[in-house]
Amino acid sequence: MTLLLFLVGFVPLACIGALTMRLLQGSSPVLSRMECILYGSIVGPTMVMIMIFILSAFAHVPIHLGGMLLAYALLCIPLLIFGWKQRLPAKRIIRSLSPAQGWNAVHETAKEFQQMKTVHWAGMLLALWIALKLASGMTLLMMDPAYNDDVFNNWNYRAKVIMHEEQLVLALPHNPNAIAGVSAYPPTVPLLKIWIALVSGGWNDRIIALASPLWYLLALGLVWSTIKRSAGRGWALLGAYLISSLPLLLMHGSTPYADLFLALHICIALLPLFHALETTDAQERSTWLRLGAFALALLPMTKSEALLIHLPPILLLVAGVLFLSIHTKTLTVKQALHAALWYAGLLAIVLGTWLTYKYMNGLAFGNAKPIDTALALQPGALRSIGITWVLEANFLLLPGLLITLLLARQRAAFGSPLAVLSLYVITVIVGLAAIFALTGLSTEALRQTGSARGIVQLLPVMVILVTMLLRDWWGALDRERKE
Amino acid sequence: MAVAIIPLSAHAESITNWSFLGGQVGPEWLINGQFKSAADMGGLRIIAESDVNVFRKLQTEHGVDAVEITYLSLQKTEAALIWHLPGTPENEVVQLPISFAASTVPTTKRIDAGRYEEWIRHPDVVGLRLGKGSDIQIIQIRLIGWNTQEKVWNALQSYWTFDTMSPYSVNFLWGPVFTGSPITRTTLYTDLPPKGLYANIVWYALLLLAGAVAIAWAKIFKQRRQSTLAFVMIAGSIWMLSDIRMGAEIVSYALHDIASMNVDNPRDQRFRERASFPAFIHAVAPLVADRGRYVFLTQYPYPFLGLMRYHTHPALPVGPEAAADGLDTWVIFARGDIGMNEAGQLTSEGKIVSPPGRILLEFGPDTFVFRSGT
Repeated sequence: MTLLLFLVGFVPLACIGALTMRLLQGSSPVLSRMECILYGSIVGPTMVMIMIFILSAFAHVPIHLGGMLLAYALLCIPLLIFGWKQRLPAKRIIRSLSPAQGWNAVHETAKEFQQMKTVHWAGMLLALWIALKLASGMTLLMMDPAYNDDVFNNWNYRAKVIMHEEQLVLALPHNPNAIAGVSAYPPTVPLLKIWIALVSGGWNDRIIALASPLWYLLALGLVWSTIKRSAGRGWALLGAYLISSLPLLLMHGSTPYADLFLALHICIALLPLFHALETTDAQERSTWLRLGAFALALLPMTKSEALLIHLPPILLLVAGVLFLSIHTKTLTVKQALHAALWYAGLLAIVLGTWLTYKYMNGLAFGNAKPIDTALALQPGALRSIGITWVLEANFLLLPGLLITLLLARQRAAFGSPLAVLSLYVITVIVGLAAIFALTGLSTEALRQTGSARGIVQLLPVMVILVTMLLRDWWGALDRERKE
Repeated sequence: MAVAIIPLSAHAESITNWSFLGGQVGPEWLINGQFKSAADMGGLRIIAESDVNVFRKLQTEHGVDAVEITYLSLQKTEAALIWHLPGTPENEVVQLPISFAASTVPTTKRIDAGRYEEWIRHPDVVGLRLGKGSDIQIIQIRLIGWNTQEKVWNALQSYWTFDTMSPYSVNFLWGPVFTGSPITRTTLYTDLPPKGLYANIVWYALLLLAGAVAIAWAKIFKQRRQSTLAFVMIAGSIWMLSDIRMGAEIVSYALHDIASMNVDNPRDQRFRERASFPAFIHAVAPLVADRGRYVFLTQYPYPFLGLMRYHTHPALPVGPEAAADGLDTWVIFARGDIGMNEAGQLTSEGKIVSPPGRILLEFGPDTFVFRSGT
């Protein structure tokens, strides 16, 4: 029943997201049906919550069920009309870019049939193991969804206060004369919790907490579908296993925090750039860039660090992809400009609105604290980061594997479409290390309260990168054997 | 009696046992400083009037990894384990600060000396330094050494020793740690950070070695594919082992929660480190739902104040100073200093803090809800 009530709230948001994804693709669709649902389930809730935020902040529309449905309708009706006018086909082919190298090819020989069977059984075992771990995570979550500090002092508490006041609230009840530090966070996640609460009939910690396991499954789905598209089912299975085996990610799938939410948004802002470089078809590349532009525009509304840490490198990568597209003549200057306009326009709308709101209300631009500009090497911070990122079990051996593969497969890592993922991951990791080692935020590293969560936000991208590099390595070995 | 209570280290391979029971204090023991002492059936009692050293020469064949001291002490006693390194000046000793908790029954202080860099397995002098004012009865001192086989076995067991679900588990997970000492293993995740070797250090070292061997194999025997396959198998096995280890830990969190929460009476539920607090909130929330504000008192403002604020919203918990505004409901959690006098008033250390009223909910001896004027 809890799950059903959650889905009653969530499915309409996913539908509007999937519709948006479909419409953005226009006459040159690139997403498979599964990808459309995955991308839609991520963008849908965020775009509706942004609309609710805009209506509340600038038009004083109350945040109650009526106000939220109004926001939904204001997005849904134009999209439906536009979709109906376009009369786009609902279905499209599922594309695999390199079926011959993947395991999607027709399996005629007994050996290949055996391989299929092995993959099938491995998949079954993997699914059972993931299900057991997820069930444990769900048990922990359902015992007390408000167990962690950021839940009862930030995300859920703000949501409860906003829901009670029916408007955006900056000063929290226990300190009504000061703007709370956590009010500098975008309100998207609290608004999403309110939506679920209102649609499902009232505030219920357990129903609202179900967003986290859903995000966890969406992360698994994104890794699976991305790798399957580019490398085939077998490698997708490996990628799904790798990401499902990361303990700290599972903890975030079992805790109502927002790092996984940000991780998903990073993924859908970044992966279209990777896919855009994978195709040489101008129309398809333009479509990917449109999808990427839309996803990137939503990114700053997820968590504060999205604006400062994740948006700048992705924007640089967008510029790089556009420049490369013109240079290799995959896109004309006009097409590239068109894509750039999509990015600039959508980002201006969302970011402009959010920054205006922040400026109007004097909200900090750091996380819950203002940005620390006094730089000095903080004693012990780098050691602590090393322990948290590499030696503890948070990510098993992923950091070591990533570094090894980036060094061993430099050509694939930096000389193929994977460069988008490699450069992004390296930039953010170096950036995070610098922030923790050089600023007052070092306490987050020394107490281990924030440094590992910074990596959690990168995990889906890191796993996709690692799996694709492994596949490249394996391919090279296979070619050697055949020669 | 004391002999019966002294724990036996059944698994220790080599033990040197110095018992003071029955007044056995041989001439090999040296005590310096100002003190009063009495050696009787119950052990050696020392009342230190200045800093006092109690020590003796050590000539054991086995190495020493841990020291166990069984004692009685009416008060908490600050002391130091002292030892001398062979070859260093005689008056130079190494000190490891320790403290003996007050105890009226024989209690054993277990010190995993081997985990300190300064410790060597064969010191030539071992003893205790007691601070001025100490009053302690030493019953027995045991020096324990484990052989390699036992250390390996302990390390394997420590790999499968799990942490428990904590507020920090969303920020980081310590993960498996190798330690050869059974003493450290029993306090692996309670005496933080865990003392031992992170398993990932071992795995990375192993993988580096395997990688080097695979490269050499590929070059020497021109079998790149086979050597790579072997390396991948090793790396994959380590990954899966780590996954199973951490997956099992998370499953154990869930099993622990189920066991501790699945009791007939909700008041008996013990939820992680917060014990009965969630059950208390559950019982309190309806009582304050219509109060707007209420007084909340606890020894542990973090995290309980935030949790009360969240769970009882829009009712707001405030400090006792706000009671003057006419607040009538007091929620008290784990405050032994607060009680109710015969006139029905709340008192804090004997001082009246509220008008007369009655207890709405009695959750425990120092945990209740009080409403004045009813």
